[in-house]
Amino acid sequence: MNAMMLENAQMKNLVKAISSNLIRAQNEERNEKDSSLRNSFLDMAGYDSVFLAKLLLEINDSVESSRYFLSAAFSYEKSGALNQSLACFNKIKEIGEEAFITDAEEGISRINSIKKEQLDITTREGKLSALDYLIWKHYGLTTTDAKSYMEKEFGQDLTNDSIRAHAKKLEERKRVIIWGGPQGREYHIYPNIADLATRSQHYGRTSLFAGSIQDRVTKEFRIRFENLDYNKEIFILNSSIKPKMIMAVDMNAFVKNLRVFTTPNFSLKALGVLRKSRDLENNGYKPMLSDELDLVDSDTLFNGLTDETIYNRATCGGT
Amino acid sequence: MDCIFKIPNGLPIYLVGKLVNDFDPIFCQVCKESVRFLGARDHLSVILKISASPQCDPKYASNLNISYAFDNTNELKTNINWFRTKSNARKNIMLKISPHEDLLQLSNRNVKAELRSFIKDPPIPIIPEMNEGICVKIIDLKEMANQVRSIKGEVVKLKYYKNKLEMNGVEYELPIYKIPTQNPLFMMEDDDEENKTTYCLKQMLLISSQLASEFEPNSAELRFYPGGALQLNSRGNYLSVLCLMTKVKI
Repeated sequence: MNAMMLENAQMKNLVKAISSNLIRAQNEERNEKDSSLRNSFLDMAGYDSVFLAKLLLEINDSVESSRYFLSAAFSYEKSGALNQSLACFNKIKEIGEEAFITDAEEGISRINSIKKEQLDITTREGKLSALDYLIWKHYGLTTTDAKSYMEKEFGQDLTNDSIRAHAKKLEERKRVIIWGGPQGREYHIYPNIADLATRSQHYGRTSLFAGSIQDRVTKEFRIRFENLDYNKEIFILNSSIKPKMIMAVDMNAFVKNLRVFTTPNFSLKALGVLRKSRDLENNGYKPMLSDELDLVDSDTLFNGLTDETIYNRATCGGT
Repeated sequence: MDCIFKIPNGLPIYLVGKLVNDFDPIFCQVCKESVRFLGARDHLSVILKISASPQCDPKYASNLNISYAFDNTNELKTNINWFRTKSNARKNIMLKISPHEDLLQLSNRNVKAELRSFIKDPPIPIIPEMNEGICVKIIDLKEMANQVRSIKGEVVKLKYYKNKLEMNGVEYELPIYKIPTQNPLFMMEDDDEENKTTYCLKQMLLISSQLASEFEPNSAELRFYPGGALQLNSRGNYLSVLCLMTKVKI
């Protein structure tokens, strides 16, 4: 099967999944007491719509792509995933298809006018939305931080277990990424930026990115001796992250974890600043890639399965 | 198929023994014209290059490209132990290096050792060579290592000024010269001091100058970009050491 046929099959499957989750969400509308299931289906529909929209954009179908971004924006907005929704509306503006611009602008204005006081925090979904709000406001919340902010900003005294359960739920819905835990260890909770419709609002911020190594692309960068201040290795993260992202790791991280970097599909979490590939030129690596890609310049790496820290620049970087 | 690189003594393996002190793992890359041992870390990378032609079927030799990564363990140290004495390493006893799929054999009339790669065909760090920049010829590497050792602080300031190199403000008393370069960046007047200065980590410069001074090269040079990276390169008849240090941002 060639790449085109594979892509078509993948798109068909995504369309089916989106429809199916939207129908399920509609069926759950009747359940007025608990909207968890409905929102889960909406989040799944939103996630798949964004992925499909990105695939369509890769083949330059900007009209269909905008249509699916808009569908995702509405699904996310309805489920309370406001940052995901906002990213979809922003992406539609970035693409610039006129027929969708008004909807996008209205959507952005609507979401920006929502105040945290409007959240109904007496329900489980309300508490989830409140935690989601805090995670996107304060990057890298620990369980303790989250508990404290919940009390300060929402007047909610939740237990650590409850915070962890809510965070896990948000992770299942692909809104956040966690490292740390289980059994009493602190969670460190970050917004899931990689899967947003657009990452353009988040450059320069430190977040957590989950993926696996697809290719080593260090050779695609030319060394600029006048700027070289750190020896690095550079990799493409796995293909399920769209648009593609690259990860730069310190040389010490690479040599000390050579087995990890040579094990196909080894699952990793990288904590670092979101940048553009051209920004690495300031560190002495001029990109020669055909496209400009987003980059995570990681200073801490975790085993994606066990959450064990496998590299930390501050403690085991050395020189 | 067997393939053998023959070199006049064990000095390169003595230097590998020195690399082991500062790098883990030690990488090795064997191709048709050289055996290269490499070490890499955040602010320093080193290539120890043995230039030699393998003795084997020319067709096989032309496709020769094998990579290894040796864990810096006691096993590695034990295997190269005989070479870690300089007097042993410098003896005129022919050393044979024989690359196999996942191990490198070292042998001479006294030693037979095997260095086994802990990863099959590992990715090798890319260490580019600096060909431009301000170039200073170093006559006595040992003296330079002593000077670096005596510098206080973690960062060394290097300044090229009026045909002299100053390290941390101390004039380096050895003969030096500038190699002409085509890069207009370096076509500057001598009084343009700040633009001919760079900074590096003292520890990295010390490791590099000590390593390069462990053998008697035919030539040694220190090369740097103003405000940029630094390279120490020493070349002998069949052996060369290239150390690349990153800059320190001030």
